[in-house]
Amino acid sequence: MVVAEPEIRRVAVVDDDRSQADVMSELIREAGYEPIIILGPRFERVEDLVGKVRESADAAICDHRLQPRGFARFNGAEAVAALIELRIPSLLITQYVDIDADVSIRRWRHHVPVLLSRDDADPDSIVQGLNACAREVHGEHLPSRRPWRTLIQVDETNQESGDQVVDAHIPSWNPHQAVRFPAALVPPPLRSNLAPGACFFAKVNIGADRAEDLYFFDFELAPEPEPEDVLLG
Amino acid sequence: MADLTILDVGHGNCAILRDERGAVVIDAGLGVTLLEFLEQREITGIDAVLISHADADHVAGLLTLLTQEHISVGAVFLNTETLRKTAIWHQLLVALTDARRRRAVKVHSQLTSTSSELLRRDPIEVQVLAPSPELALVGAGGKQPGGRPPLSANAMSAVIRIVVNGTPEVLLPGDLDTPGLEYLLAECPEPRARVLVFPHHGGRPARADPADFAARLCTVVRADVLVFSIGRGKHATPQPEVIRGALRATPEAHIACTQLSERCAASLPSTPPAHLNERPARGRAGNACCAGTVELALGGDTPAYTPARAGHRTFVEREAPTALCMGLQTPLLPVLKEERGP
Repeated sequence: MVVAEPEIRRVAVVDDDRSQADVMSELIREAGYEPIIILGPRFERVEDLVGKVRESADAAICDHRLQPRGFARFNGAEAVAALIELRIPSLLITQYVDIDADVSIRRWRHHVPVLLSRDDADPDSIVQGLNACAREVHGEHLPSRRPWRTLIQVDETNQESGDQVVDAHIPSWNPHQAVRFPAALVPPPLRSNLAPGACFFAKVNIGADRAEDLYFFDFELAPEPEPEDVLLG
Repeated sequence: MADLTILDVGHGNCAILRDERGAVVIDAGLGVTLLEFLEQREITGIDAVLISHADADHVAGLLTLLTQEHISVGAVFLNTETLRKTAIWHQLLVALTDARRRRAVKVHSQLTSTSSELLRRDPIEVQVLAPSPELALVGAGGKQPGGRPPLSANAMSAVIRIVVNGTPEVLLPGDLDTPGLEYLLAECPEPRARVLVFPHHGGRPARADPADFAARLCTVVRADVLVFSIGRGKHATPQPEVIRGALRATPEAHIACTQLSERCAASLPSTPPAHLNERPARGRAGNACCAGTVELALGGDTPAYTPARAGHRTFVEREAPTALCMGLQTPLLPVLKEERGP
């Protein structure tokens, strides 16, 4: 059943780089929407930016790195997650997919329906992306976005740009590819268990094809097989 | 009415037997296709999961299946692979421990020819033809007498046969290789079946000649339908020599690969194929299916399955210019780099 979506007419452009915002506005116009460029200065709180989007547009396309030029004190992934929570279809865009997907984006990825590489941005991908966002805010997940409870095994923990990160395998997704995520996703009482070899259960969208699309939540420590277990090797 | 569904899970294996009593899952490859299938068929209880061997492409899906709160699993049957010390084996032990403690899943630590009695569901027999219990006691990675190499997990694959009202319908031999075939024939000299899910996705059978192995297996099974459960772009399956050997032994057999091998078509169809059945298939979204998921109605006088042979053949003729199954009459593609894989 196709759910009727509230029409998207005005799309907010959130970008700290004015020239990029102008380019995006052109694409949005070609895609058939009216672009609304959100200007700074400096957003201190996510709610301030969200409020501004909400009063001026029906949807948003948000750049991820908003901090370097002082546009905001938070990143775009956090802003998109807040917009999605308010059921405003919002798409995250970046030219740093390979660098930022594992940690600063993954932290919010559960609530970021679509991550678009700037390289792939064109009117078609914008329409498709915003439609996917609109469906997800109404509870309709693509198979690649649907979470399933599964087993995760920790390879090791590391530091990346001051954040504690976890490198792990999700064997039901791909037993031969490790995935990095921020330790902040694991509830504080469980973090001391993040040792090499430890297994957890978590909800993960294992129907996703690409590692950068995976998100994690609802962590729970899995039991270690103990000596009395029949199956221990 | 009972049926057996061989899911397109990409490279790997997964089949579901569904009858009036419930459901049995045979192997659980990667991904979510099995979960989508169970949802589509409104199956929330699985009587037993049978694991042929603990390679990830046969077992990784179990790590998700066992943790689904809305799906109950009665029992899991598998043979030990402790000697192999693989990551997936440890992960499987963790998942089984959790399932047994919290959800009372019965874990049977053997799946051998003595397990068949436990798996009867009249009028359907779920037969375990191999390995023998003695072979399972040695275990994958265990030493064989006479200085032969250690037992491989593939040789130890549990070979499952579904028999309905005395008719052998389907043979599911995991990743059986040449030594495994010898063990199988020692236990069951005539492993006949109407449908054979070809072992190891049509990859190489250990060190043996692939054509000879395929011809020997197809000669003893005499199947009308050969299903190759493959993932396009993974491990370059099926091997042309395997198809050649299979067609040498059973030239009339319908060869049905779940996905469209890059050996058969360099590019994928631009539109969704019309011949596929309605079951979930991993290749569907990217138009990567060849036969896709294959579903067999069990217990009829003749094999009845979807997708129908005629529709599949029309698709192959149109979309697979170098199709291996068309009798290998077309020149083969240059030999693709073969990845080593499970």
